[in-house]
Amino acid sequence: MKALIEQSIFAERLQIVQKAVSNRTTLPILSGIYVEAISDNLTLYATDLEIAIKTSAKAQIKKEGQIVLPAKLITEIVKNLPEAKVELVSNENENTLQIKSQQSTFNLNTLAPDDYPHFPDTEDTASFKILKKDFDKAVRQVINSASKDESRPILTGALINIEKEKIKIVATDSYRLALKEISSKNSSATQAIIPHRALDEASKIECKDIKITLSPNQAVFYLNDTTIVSRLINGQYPNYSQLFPQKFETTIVSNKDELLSAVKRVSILSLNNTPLKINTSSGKLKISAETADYGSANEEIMATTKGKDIEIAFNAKYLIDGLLGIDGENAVLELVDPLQPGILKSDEKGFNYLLMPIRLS
Amino acid sequence: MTNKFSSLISHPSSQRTILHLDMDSYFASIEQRDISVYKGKPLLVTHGWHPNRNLGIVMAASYEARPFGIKAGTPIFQAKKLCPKANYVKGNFEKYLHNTRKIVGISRNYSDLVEVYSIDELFLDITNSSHLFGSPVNLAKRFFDEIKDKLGLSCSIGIGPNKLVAKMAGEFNKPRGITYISADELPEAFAPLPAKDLLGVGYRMKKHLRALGIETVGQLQNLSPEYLKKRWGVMGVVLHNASLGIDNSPLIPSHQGPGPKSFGHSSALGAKGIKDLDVVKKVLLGLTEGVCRRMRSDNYLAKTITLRMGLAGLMYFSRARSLANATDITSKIYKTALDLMDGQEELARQHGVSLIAISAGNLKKASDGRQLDIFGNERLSDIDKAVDRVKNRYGEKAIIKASLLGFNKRYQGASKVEIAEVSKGHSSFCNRWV
Repeated sequence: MKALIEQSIFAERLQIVQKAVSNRTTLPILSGIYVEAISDNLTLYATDLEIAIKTSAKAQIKKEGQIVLPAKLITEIVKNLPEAKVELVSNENENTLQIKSQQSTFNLNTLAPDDYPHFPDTEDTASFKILKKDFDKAVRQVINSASKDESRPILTGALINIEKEKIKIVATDSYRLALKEISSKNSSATQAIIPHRALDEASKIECKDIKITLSPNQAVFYLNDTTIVSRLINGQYPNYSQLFPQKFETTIVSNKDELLSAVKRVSILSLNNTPLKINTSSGKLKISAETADYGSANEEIMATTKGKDIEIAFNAKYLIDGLLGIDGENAVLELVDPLQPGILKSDEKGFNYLLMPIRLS
Repeated sequence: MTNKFSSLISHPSSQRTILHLDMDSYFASIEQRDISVYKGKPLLVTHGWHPNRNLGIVMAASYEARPFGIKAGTPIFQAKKLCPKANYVKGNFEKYLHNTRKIVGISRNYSDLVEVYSIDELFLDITNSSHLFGSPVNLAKRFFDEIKDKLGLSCSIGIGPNKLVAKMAGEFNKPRGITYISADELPEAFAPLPAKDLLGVGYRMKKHLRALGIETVGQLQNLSPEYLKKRWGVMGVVLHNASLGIDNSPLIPSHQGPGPKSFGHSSALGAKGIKDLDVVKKVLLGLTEGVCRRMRSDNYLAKTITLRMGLAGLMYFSRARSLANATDITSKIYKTALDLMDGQEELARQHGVSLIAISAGNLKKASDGRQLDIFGNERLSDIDKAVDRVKNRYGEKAIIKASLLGFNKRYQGASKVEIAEVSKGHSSFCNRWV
């Protein structure tokens, strides 16, 4: 293999595939990045068998070929090279690669390309295309709600539910649930549970549109020159639609930024998950927290409250995550009673955040 | 509200006088006091005693048993060989805790800065109170006599300018001794001591020191701190300071009675271990039930679950996992414990499990609120509470999990695991402060 590529492009592409390189070394070959030079493209690919990322960039290919490079080293080398063309020349007999740029020359031992797992075959059963910025926003709004606890694998993913008129994305860790709806005309209806990591990585790559295809075992994200394939999480996602209360006793509307800053400030004294209390009385909204041994915090903010007065407590982090997902000017908090789930939403439609309270004894 | 920073009141800076109290052969002394036939005889306190049972270790040995070479930690089968005539009694932790609470109560007559260090050890900062009694030693004598008079128990007391010296001093004169080492007497007072007796020197450090030809603390004092640091890192610095009697650790007073740090139960399953994992899991379920029941009755929720397992003749390991939210729900904690066992099953099957222990830590008060769950964990919590009420009223065996039904009988012969006993055990009592 002999190829010539711009340092900045090569470094950027390496950064993208790096995310799929395995940290665990049960299979040493997976600590490498597969590099392929064909016609006028340099394609990089990495996988940890959960997620696979492939990306390609234009390059001058003088001799076609494939090699596997140690991921950490190649990323580090290219990142530190001067901004100029980088020349890659492999020596198949000695299993080495020479990297040359201006005055620098590196000789790197390579791994055997035949040992590297093939990039997964991608077959479409159902696909949909949406604006990347809509996708990114949806991921940002729901991803924090996915569980980090591996003991219930299903909840570590987000449910993508494709209906005729819209796409729903749902994530929950069983203490809060984020539901995002995006209008979209789709030809078929289907659903899949995608590991949150794949969504996260896909949202970090810049492009205009994203095409997602779902097959029974995998999801594929097409982002311009980059393709991400993720396995799906098997199992039945909990039925969430029935969880949303239909009638509310109290509705609180307040400026989202003001509420968020107040909650952030007060939450400084909600250490060790001690509850953050929300109190409405005669049109005022009070937020307070107290941690034994440390102290307490109180804040009152302007809000429009309708219905019964209420005192309810939430985990501060869950409330902040919900508020961060709200894009409109106002945040609306709908409550039934101190032991029923509350719903947080914005005056923009499409995002609902269900939040379980903390029971105070 | 309690103030976390009040502990700084007793912080180093100026000269301090710290008293360390260590009860003499605590559990055994309490039993000898309460049951007169045991007086003056070798008595061993064990975790659940059964006449034919050789499992487990001695938790406390009376002074009469010590000449036979038995001390806390001696396996029971070995103790039986060393002293066939010894008496055995099953530990009663509620009783010991009750006594500790009384000792703590008495200690408050001598200082308001009391740190409960373990079930039978206290630290008192007597910097500002010793002059009321004339001298630190006079205070110690009064304290010693009051415990003797009111509880009929003896103790050993060490006094020093910091916690380390106080604790070391207490070891000088055991049992029934009072030792005072003032700052002026340091570091000479430590010099003749064997290096192995220095606080922080464990089995391995002892070997390392011996390899360097260091037998006494005095020899250790002569080594340069740079050398010790280079050789053992942070531990080297600790060792250097300890040899000179330097210790800046603050006394952490427990104002309204300290809370527990964790709840834990464990069961020894015999030296050969149990290879049938179903049995091990059932024992674990019994232990988990016991832990959760105690947490519920004391109104605590735990966030971190630790599983400790011994593989016969191979090793001990422990693994922990933190939950997203603190809980006292038995089924949730049991599931976490099983997850922690995952991946070790093959080894466990091969070698046999000789010890299984579960502990629930990172505690918070249930009164601080309980995070509700979307999918209705509340129901599980209600079930646990209902079961607790039945047990409180009709006894531990009135209601048990179906999977443990008949388990007791079926495995009694094979492994001598008694679930009822296991779930009442309090083997990690040290974690549970007064």
